[in-house]
Amino acid sequence: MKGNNLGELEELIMLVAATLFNEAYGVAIKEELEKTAGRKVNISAIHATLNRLEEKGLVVSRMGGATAERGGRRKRLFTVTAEGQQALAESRELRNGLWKQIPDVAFKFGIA
Amino acid sequence: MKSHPPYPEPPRWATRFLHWYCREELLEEIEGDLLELYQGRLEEDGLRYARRHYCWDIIRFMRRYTIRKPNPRPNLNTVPMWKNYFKVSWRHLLRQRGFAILNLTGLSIGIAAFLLILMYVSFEHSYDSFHKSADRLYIITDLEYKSGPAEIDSSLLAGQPENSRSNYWLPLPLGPAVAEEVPQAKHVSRFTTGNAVAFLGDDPMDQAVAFGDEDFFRMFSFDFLEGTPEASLNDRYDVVITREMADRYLGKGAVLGKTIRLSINGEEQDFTVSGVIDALPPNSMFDFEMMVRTEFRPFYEMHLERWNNYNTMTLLEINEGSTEEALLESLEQLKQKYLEDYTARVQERSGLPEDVLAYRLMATPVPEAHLNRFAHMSNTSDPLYSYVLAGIALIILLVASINYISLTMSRSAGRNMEVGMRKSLGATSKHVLTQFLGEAVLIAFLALIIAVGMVLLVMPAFRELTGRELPLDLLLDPRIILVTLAAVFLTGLMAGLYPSLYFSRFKTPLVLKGRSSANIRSGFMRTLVIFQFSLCVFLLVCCFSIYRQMSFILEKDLGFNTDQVVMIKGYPDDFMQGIEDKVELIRTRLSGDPDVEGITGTSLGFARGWSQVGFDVGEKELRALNYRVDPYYLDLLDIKLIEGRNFSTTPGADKGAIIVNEALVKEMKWEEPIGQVIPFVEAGSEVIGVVKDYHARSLENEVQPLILHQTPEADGIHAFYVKLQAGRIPEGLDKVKAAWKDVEPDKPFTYFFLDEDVRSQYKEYLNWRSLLTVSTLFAIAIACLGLFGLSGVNAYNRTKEIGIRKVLGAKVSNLLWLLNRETLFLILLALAIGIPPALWAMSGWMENFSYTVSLDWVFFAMCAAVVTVLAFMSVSYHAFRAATSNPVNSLRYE
Repeated sequence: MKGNNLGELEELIMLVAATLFNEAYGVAIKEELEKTAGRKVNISAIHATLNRLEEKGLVVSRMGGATAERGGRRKRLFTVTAEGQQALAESRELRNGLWKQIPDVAFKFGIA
Repeated sequence: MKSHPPYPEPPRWATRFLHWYCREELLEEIEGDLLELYQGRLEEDGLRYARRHYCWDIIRFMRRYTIRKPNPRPNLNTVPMWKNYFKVSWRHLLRQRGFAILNLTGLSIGIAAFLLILMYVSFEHSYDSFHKSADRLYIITDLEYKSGPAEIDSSLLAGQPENSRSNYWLPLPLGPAVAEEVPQAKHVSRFTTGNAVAFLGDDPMDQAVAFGDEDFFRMFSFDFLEGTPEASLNDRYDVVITREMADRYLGKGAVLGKTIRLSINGEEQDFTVSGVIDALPPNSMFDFEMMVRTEFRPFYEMHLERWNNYNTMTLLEINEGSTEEALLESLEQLKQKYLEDYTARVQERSGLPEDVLAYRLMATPVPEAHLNRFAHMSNTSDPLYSYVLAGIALIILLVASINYISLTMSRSAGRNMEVGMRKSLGATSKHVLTQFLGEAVLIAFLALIIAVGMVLLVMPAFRELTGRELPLDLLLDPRIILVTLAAVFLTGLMAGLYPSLYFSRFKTPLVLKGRSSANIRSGFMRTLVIFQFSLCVFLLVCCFSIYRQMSFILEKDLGFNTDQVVMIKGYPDDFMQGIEDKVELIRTRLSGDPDVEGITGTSLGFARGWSQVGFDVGEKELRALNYRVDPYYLDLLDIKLIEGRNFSTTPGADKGAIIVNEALVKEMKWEEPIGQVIPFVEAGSEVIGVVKDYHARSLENEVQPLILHQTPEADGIHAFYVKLQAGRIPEGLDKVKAAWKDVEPDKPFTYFFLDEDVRSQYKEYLNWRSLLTVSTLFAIAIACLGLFGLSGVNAYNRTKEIGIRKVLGAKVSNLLWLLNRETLFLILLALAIGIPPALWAMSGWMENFSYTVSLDWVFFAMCAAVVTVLAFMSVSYHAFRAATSNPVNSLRYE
């Protein structure tokens, strides 16, 4: 369905996933999110969001990259799809557009 | 940032939990992430922190998309599947017809027995609960302690305390007194029964009547076909009759306002029909066809003054909102006002301390009166009996169900192949479960239907057996329906459970290849059979004991001879005078007739009640039974005179003399009884003779002191016995009837055979005996069935072994012994378990009787023998078949 309305967390996660291209999986996304945005998100929320995004077709996943740290278990790596990119772009445009429309007066905080 | 193993592991329980709820596909990535995080936290923040967050994260991961979806498999139990199940079940049934019928019958019988007994118990507990104000209706009783202690033990097993006496016959004036003095009383009525002569055309008929007050029908709800309860006994000359009576005396159609002529105690009166009621329901303590007002009771005026004559039932309905405590309070005050003297005397005599009441008035709720153990009314039963019966019913059902289960189990053994096939075609254990459960439950319900049919069939016989007119719509009682359905369903469930569990253990390839050697575990069945047989033993012993006791009772020498004796009821015009002169006339008329061996007049027949009088002899209070007789009494009944002489036949002689029995002599501690004078009547009565003790009352009671007298003031002659010539009884009876008609043309000729009369005292016990016999037969049938099943299982389990033994040369007899060793053990165990409780129960029951038969070891040996024979008969089929089977068949697959 065109015009995916992304939730705030969804958008953030997608952006981070795109940033971590080829390295985007649960824990990495969580840490990056915390590092760059200062947001502490529970790992389960991240997984759930990614799952939802995949269902919507905005990301795709594949298994890969087992490490000893993970007891030999593989990671599920996510990449943003074209639709995902589109959705992000639309969101950005929407924000920009709205910003442009704000009169100067709105944000002049001084002595009232 | 990596830690090398060994590192402290994350909590295992949490991991297990994760594995339990999480879907397979997601498990790897989730667990991997969790581990990674754990590692990180371990290094940064320590073990505790890491563990805590690990667990917390696992909990947080429980979301809808992670949780396993139950049974993703396609549902194979669709409608066509059920059709297949049904078809296969049916075929099995047909193939093993014998077994199936046996099984079905067993369960049906069990359910039928259960239903019948349940109906009986529910009926017994429903007495008089149909009245609209049932919860506010009470019957007044009294309770008197002859000596201390004065505690009322209301526990189930307590009988009436030895030292107390309770009864519901109270003085006539109590009714009006209650109406006046007890503010809680809304309606009050007395109730007594008596006899009258009614006229059907010109023929006099013996008619039982009841006497009540105008509030009676306002308190008790009976269906009025004509007239209303409020106007039922308002007028003095009103009479309320049943429809049947109306038809009999006044013809069909409306009868309200018509008159019936009744002669009560010699006085003829015309009564106006003010109400017609439906026949009284069987579950009520009242059983009458005609009621008039209490004022017409014989000696009404006289008894109205007397507070020491106990002859009337008093019933009352309390106001809504009144409590029982308040009622008892009022009764207590009433007692103090009117019964002061008697209370004082009883208190003194009992020796109880002043603050403990030796005599009090109580109120029993009417719906409970039927089961009241203390005040034995005419057709009450001990509630203990109902509970015992209910227990038996439950046990029979349990046993039948267990049987059904075990038989089903043993039958299912042969279905290995089928189950193997199904499993290889994709059936899961759940499917197998469904199949067998469904089959078992279905058959169980089939048995239920058959059982209901059985109940309907057997109803008339059952009514006969229990002496209760059980209505069929008892079956529709929701409680009974619920309980039965639940029980049947449960049985089916359990029956189907074991086979399916048994089959789910199979490895399919093994089964298909040939015979699987898995044994049916017979441990469970074995316990069941022991239980069944113990129950059997218990019931058998009880049954035999009761039989013995009843035979003993019925054959015991009562001390007098009832053969060929007929009692004829008299209808005196003057109650006090009685029919003495009439008896004389009849005697003269029939003297010399060879068919009539003797005639004697008496006050009361044996089973028709008893009269007891109490009077003070010096310091002592003597209570004695008393009968008015004439000089021919002792001879006619073969009562032995051991001292002194009989009444003289000279008319007018010995009017003040009395004859007593040994018990009285013993009670009075006389050395020389002849010549003693006791104040039986005011003027004193002289003892002229002593008779050997005999049982004037039923054998439940010990022989009491007895007075035979000829004093008209004390009692009149109201009946007479005629001894007829053996073999000429009908002719003799006719002659007596003719003589009666001459002498008393206006009175009905009502006769009873004395021996039947005496037997009827034990009616309840005979009923009990029948009931118990039936139960025992049930239990035996079912236990044998159980054993049959068990032996089948055993034989199956040991097929291989038997085959091998046979090949090695074992004889049939050896094998039989081998197989039945276990049976013997079972029986011994069952005997050991079953006999002690039976002994205990029986000795308790025997306490009802003052005269009991002893249960010696011969008796028990007999019981043991019976049980053994039955057991061996049950196992013989399978044992024999196994022992004579062809080893080729059993060892073919090895």
